[in-house]
Amino acid sequence: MFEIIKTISEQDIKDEFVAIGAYVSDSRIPQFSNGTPYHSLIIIKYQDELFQFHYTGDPTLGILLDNSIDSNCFHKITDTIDIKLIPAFIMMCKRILKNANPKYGYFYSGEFYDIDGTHFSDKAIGERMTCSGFCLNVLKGFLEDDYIVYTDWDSSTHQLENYLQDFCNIRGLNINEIEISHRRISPLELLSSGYYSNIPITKEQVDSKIGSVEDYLKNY
Amino acid sequence: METEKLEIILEYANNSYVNLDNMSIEALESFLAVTNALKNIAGSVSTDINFSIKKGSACAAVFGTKTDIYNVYGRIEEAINGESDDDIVTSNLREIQKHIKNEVYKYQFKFANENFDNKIREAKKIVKKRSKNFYKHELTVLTGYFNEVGGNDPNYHFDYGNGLKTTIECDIPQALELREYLYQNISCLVQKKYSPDDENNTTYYHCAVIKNEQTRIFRKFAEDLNSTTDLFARIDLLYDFSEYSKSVIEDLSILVSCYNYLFQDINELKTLLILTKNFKDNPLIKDKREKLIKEFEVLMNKI
Repeated sequence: MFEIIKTISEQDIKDEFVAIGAYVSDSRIPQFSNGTPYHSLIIIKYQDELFQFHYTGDPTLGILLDNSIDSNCFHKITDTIDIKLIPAFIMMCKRILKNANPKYGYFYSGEFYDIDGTHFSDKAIGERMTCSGFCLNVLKGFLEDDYIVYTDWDSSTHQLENYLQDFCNIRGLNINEIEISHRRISPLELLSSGYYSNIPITKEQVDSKIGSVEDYLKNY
Repeated sequence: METEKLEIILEYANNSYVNLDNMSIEALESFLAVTNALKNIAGSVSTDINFSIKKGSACAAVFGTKTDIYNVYGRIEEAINGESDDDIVTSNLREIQKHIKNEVYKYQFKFANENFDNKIREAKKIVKKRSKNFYKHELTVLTGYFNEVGGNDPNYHFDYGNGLKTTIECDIPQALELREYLYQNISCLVQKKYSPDDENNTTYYHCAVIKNEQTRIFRKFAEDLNSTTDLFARIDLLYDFSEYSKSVIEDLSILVSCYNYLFQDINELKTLLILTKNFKDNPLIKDKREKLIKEFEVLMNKI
């Protein structure tokens, strides 16, 4: 589809950009059906060089900022970040890389990366996030306003039986404090948000793009 | 009076013929960016010119008297040859060059019906030439006995005794604020403007009063900023500054209050906004930051 670009092999319309990226499953990733976005990341192109910035979810790998982008990565440029500000964006990513320490979990409740790449949260959940949640933390850290209306997503967006209960039991956390942060904003949804430049972006806007994005990736 | 024109024509985008009646998003974005850049360049040379946008591909033209248009062309040619010291011409021509070089688009750039897009395409990256007789600007921290402020063009003095004193220029709101420090030893962050060829030709401009315990971090920050023009290094210094700061709100509020003396690039201002976002409602920062945001938005639309 127009504007979604296969990162490594297709040429985008702009020479420099910040984009919402997604790794999309193919025969190498049997646990998802072909054409499913399964990992979110941020793609940056600056002075003819492509970078990916993402949270792997792996405790040893953590956050990576590098050039080794998967061959089945797709992206959509986000106009929420002006190309004139790419140097400031890259430097913020570098500070996050240096100072952030995320842990994995299906939570997001408006947190962001703050001064010096340290994490800001006013909720009990702290620096706990998915790969998409990481991208949201980064985007909100850079932008003056929220990137997404996260409250449009509720805990029903992540339906893994007893997830929240088990999560709290293992760590001795109070479920009443944590459940407010429990939700899943998927890589497909985040990729679809790339079509909007007026922030914060609503779930309704995202939903209206999902079908065509999904079809495009399945049939690519 | 004889008239002349400069034209930019966007013929193809993504291998499709461009028509003003029916343009794709990317063709329109590119055409608007290039047209805006042409407007900025021509408008900086003369105000007595007019523009037209017309069909047949997408064509933007600036027209005016022969003298004015030859002047505009002259300024463009100067920038192509790396001889221009004009920020508006070089930055906007660089924008045009970016689009002309992008293979997705096919542009023609015509002066007096002669194509010169190749000249722009083949020129090295268009940058501003540094003029020879330029002033240098440095940041520094001055400490002294503060015993006088005022005047119609306000300034104040640090008196070192034996007739030795330094005069620092300031504005009226600063002068009013400074009055409360009269007859005390104080330290100020100041901008020193001087000519490298003539040490006597030095002027100091007031940025902010700083507390004793802040002098160390600001001395270091001033020295570090003076030592590099590399944008990425300068952004790093901003992050280091806040990382090592012991009273971060107070220290950052000083950077926000005198950003215009400290930073040149929009990315430096953006970084300062990122660093202060979580303190945006703090009374030490709130008003100054709102002013900075306004200035930032004006600059974003200008570049």
